[in-house]
Amino acid sequence: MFVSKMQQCLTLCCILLEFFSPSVTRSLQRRSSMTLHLREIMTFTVVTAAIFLSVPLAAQPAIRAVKLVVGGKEAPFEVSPYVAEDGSVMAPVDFVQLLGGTYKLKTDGLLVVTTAAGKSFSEIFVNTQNRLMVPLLVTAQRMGASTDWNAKESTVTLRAKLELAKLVDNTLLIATSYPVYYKVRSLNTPERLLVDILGTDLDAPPASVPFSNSSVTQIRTGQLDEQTVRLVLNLSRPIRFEVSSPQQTNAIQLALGTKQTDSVPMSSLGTISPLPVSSEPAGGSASISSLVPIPSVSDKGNTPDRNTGITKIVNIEYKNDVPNIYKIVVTTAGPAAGVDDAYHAVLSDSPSRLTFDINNSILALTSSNKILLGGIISNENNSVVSGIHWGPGSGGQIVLDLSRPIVYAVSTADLSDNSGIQYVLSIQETLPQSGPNNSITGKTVIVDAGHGGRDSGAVGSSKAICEKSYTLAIAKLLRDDLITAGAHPLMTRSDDTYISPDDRSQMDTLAHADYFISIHCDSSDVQNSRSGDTVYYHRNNAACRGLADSIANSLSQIEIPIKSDGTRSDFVRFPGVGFAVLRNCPETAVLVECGYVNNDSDAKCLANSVDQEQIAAGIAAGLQDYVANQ
Amino acid sequence: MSFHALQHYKLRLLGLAFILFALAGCGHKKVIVVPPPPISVSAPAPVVEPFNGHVTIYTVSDKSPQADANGLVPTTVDVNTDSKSPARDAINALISYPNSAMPTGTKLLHIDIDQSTGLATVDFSSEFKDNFRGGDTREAQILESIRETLGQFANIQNVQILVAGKKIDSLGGTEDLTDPLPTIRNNKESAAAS
Repeated sequence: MFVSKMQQCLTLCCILLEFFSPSVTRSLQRRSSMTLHLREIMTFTVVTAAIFLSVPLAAQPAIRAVKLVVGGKEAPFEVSPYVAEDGSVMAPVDFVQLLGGTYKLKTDGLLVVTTAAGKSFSEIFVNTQNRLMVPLLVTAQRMGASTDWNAKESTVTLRAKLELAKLVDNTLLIATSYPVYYKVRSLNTPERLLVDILGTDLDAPPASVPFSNSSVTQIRTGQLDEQTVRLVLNLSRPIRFEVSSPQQTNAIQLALGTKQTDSVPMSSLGTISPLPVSSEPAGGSASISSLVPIPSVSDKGNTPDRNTGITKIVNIEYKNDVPNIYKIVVTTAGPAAGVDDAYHAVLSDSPSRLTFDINNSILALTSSNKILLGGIISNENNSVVSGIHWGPGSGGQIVLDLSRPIVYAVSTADLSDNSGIQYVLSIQETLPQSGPNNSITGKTVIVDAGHGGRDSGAVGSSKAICEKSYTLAIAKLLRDDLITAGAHPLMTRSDDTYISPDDRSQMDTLAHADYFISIHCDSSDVQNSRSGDTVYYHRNNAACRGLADSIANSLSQIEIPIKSDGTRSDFVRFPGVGFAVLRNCPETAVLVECGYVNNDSDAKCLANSVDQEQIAAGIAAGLQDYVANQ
Repeated sequence: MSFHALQHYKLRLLGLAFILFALAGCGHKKVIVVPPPPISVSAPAPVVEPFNGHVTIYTVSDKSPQADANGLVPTTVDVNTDSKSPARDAINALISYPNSAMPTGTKLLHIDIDQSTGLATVDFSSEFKDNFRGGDTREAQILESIRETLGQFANIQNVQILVAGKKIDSLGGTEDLTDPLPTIRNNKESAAAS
């Protein structure tokens, strides 16, 4: 390690000094032994100080980059894990979030990691390229992971341990050592229920699982492949099931024999992730790609509809109701019974395409189907899916042309009346790599909607005039503007939730964001005594001030009745400390007070959705101008 | 260099090397301590003078030309010259003053000053949080008035605000109150020990 190298170097310096200055030493010896003693103490002090001062110096850059695989997928890092000189693998502490954990750098310098189960421990770290690097294997083991270090391929694979699997009455419980993704589906002939637990390691050899349910004849566990543990429930009769745990959890819960059959909810795909998980496309996209169907080993013999052997694709719909998420919904007809959900989805390059193929299917679309008529998705100019067409022959192969790199997931569900199966192909654009320094493309921007939940912020002349709802509305619009501009915005809150000032800046630190923009509205002592928007920067930080100036300048050019009041240091409001969210943010951070809620004219404007759009656009343009001029 | 002198050197080198390796051993596992960034206080601590019965509190006067950026002005009030705790008297005066920024109904439950660290722990009743109304400006005014009022006492460097004996995240959602805040020194005011 660099510390020991530094120490060796200093020892050598000291020895050389001792040898090459004998005359000095001798003369000192002659004067008095006291002086000599003093000199030794001084040398010792200087050397000791040098050793300790050397500790916080930046570590040497990565010597050998290491890949980290969690949940079957390589974790993306801005600063790669590396093998340190002493052979230990160091990784950015952010990786604990992939295991459902969190971390916090305390003011006393301790780095405290908290597991998904709430257990905390402190970990040693070094600072490499401004990232807190911790010993990967030790930390992962302390978080309950089984670790596998492949030195030849420089790859560390982390897997959760299957800790418990049992069926109590109608509830199947599966506990893992940290939160994982999973997939549940039912098969017939014979009737079975499969639970695939991704990125998990079956510690003990496959064993039977205790159960007490009349519909279940046997439960088996096994390691399906390196990454997947499969639980197979053999059933005596077809039963319905309901997943009652979140998409990623360390306690999978399945209610058997309930009225509705459903596959794992794809809930996280429905919304933009409200909390930053990582600066890289880890959070959202990791969850998506890890749900790519697992190669099946036991599905043979499950042929489609036995009457005809053919599955009819009766409808295809295209949805883009959530920004950046594109859904292709494919509905097949025919009795669900006897129909397996076997399908293939293959991503290919040049040309960039996603091919979706339902086994033994044909197209049987009605003429009113818009996709069939249009062929190309034309209403979305910038859609990541630039076209849709059918594969060769009469088969029901669906081919999607892609304009940019994507990740995808497939979920299946029986139609409620058992008349067919609905396949939902969810496609999300992978976040672009950080662009050139003077472009907003790929930059991570924390959009912080001030106040929320029990903290309403300033309230105007009526309770309906409420700061927390204005800040959220403007923040959401700003997020949309930033997505359009190619940035990677993350929101501290995307609904009416209370978040403490400390947690807000903690999110910024965790996300390694490039910029932090906090949206607030103000209120004065006397109704209508003040008006205008002000952009605050921290202390006299030049970068923050530059961004504040640029945003204030941009806000002064938009056509809304709120006048622009320029920029101010946050020390004006909180002398000596400034705003907590700005003080604790390591990145370029500003706080925009968009207007006064207790000014009738400002409040009218703040509540108006068109004016809100203008304010958001003004802030986004100010940020872009600032970045462009860097 | 004589043989003896050389021997002497070798011994000393051995000793030094031993100390270094011993140090290297304990330094290796040491947790790297990153000190928190220093919090700057706007002016040096004022000179201590005998308590004269006057305390300065900071109250809201938006229209006064003397008002600072948060609309606060210094106001001198008289308390008992024999006061055992001028800091307590000053906070109580701040709370009861008509133009105070303090939330209505707030009571000072307890004030404790650690003379060795200069930390004042000020415990307000729940009304401090419950009756808080207003926005970022009002939050700034309240915190500034407390920090500046206590800043006149040379022996108080930092203040930890509690509500009903407990730390709170924040008063109005903008400033973090989980850690102490530095007091604000104002050199124009006379200083006294509390």
